[in-house]
Amino acid sequence: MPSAAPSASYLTSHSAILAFLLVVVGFVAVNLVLWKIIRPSRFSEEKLTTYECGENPTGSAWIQFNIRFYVFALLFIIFDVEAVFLLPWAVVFREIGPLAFLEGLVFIAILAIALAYVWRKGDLEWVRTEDRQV
Amino acid sequence: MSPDRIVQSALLLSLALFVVGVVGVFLRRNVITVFMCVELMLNAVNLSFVAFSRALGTLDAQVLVFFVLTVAAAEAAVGLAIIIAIHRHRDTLDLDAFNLMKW
Amino acid sequence: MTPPVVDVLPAIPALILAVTGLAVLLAQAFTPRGQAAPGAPFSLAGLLAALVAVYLLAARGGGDLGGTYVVDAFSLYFHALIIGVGLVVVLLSPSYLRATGIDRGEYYTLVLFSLVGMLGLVSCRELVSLFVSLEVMSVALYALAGLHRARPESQEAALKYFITGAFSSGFLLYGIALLYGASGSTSLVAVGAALRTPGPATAALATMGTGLLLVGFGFKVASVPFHMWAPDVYEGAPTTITALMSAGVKAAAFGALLRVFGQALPALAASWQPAVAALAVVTMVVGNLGALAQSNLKRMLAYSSVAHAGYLLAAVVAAPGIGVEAVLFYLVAYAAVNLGGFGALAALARQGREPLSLDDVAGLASRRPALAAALAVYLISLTGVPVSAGFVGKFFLFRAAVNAGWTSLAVIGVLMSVVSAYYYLRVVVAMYMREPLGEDAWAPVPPSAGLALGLSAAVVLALGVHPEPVLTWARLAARSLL
Repeated sequence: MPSAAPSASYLTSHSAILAFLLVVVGFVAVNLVLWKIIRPSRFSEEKLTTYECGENPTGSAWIQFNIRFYVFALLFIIFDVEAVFLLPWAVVFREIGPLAFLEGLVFIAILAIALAYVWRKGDLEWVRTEDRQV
Repeated sequence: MSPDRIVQSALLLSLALFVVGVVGVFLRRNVITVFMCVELMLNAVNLSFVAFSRALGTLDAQVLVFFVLTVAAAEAAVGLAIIIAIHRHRDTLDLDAFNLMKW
Repeated sequence: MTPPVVDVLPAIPALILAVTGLAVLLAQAFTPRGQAAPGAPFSLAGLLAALVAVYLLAARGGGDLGGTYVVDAFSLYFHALIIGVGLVVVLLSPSYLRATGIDRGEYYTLVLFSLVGMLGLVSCRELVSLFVSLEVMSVALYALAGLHRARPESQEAALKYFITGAFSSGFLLYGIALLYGASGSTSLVAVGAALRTPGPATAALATMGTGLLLVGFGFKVASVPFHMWAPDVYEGAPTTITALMSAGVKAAAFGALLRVFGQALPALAASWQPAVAALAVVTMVVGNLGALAQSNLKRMLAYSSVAHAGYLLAAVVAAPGIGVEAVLFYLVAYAAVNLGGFGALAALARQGREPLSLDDVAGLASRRPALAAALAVYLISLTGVPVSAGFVGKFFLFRAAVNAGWTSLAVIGVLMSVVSAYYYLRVVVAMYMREPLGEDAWAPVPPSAGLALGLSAAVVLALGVHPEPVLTWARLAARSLL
């Protein structure tokens, strides 16, 4: 178990971070104030509108978007998090040997079955085949 | 800070986070927020696991955190799917609006 | 590091169910549109194979998978019960799914996965595998509760079940973390050994952890004051799933409760027994009074299932000892009547409707004599009238409480059983003494559902008349826990 830093060096080891923090905050503050003083200020109504590539903005930014996004997000979460088990598995793979290979295979096979199911259900396509037929 | 102090602080923080989660579940009315509070509870427990693991000098609990994380992800996927399904029908996420049956 | 030697044989029943679930999932995906996937036959075959595997395991004397997953007489007893529940639910399902228009192969996959979780729940001798099993069961059930996507009640049930389920998992997990902190292990045996000689800090952590575990399990078995989700979820979920929840989940949760509190926490019995007793009292009282006020049959049965959690907890107080075998025996009797009760409602479903009020079942005896007779048997057993499984079961539950010195619990239990007669027998009266209202709106009982209902009724009567074989087995199972 790694032991924590002794309390004496605790402050010194973090003082660099504190200094860095001060420099960052100071840099931003100085620049904001400096340019506020230097730059000319000509106010017009036009400048307050939302910039949308030269188009006049229409409607609210809070719109509903395609529900497809959510299916992809959920699939990503599941497959992404399951992959976390493959990392420790890879680390001890050599030591454990054939059994580890077998177990890894089973694990991946289950994920593959899930993938096959999702694929057959058409959830991997942007426009689902069943939606297209309707 | 000594290792003991760190563990102690982590445990207190975990308790505080857990309590915040529990209180949030009772006070918040938006389903997504309530769900986030539940996730906060689970992650507070993860923090306890890691702190205990450090205090006891064993790695068991750090492995447990992996399992809790993946289980929470699976739960989140099913939960969000349920929430989306209900939102499509009812157009609201207010817990008090889900009163077809009395609680 | 030497490669661990793992004996996978003990996990074979659960593995069979899991593989069957995956097979059903693939079968569903690769069935051409417009054709029915063979979900029910696959599941039945898998469940029967698992039952055979349980039998062979029992003949082999059980086994142990790396100390985390153990198949002793206790888990074998629950294996048989849970797989039996699965068989009845799958038999009830095809006609109900067609009648409500939710006939999808995923249904069977999820049922099988939740059964796998239940098997794990009663077999795990290690707290984290226990948690993972619990979640395997619960996550599948969240989805199942909301499977009826066109019915807003079903979705609402899924949401409420999900929120309260995840919430209670948090408590359970925190309890596990504290026990781990107190003992340095998540193995039930090691926790039990460590808590026998606790230091002051350890004792405080362990007591807190025990309390949190009790809250978590309290939610899962639907005991008051953690029961508020149960009526809504039982009412809103598809009826066959309600049957699965009331029979299977309750059995598995009580199995895990007995194992954890019996193997890991006997040293703390003095602190958790009064808490369990208090839970038992409020659960019996609130559950029965709540059921009195219900007009919806599913909701009434839901409150009745809350009340029964109270009766069972009254005997858990007497665990470890005679209490365990009483709980084990009653769980079988209780599973049979609940599968029957909810199954009878499901069997009558037609065009998305099912009988839910007293008016709906009025005069049922003249139109569906066999089904009405079976339903009457279940309700009489729930009340606890002699020559039914419910009577024998309650007798053992309350005797266990008395023997352990908790006579007051038994007295409250008996009083509440008398109260419960009113709302159970009201249904019997409506079926037999009232004239049918209007046209016969219900489906003829489908053969497979008829088989399932007949099976449950036979179990109820057999246990009432001749309880010895199951009782002997329960005693054996209870002893393996010590």
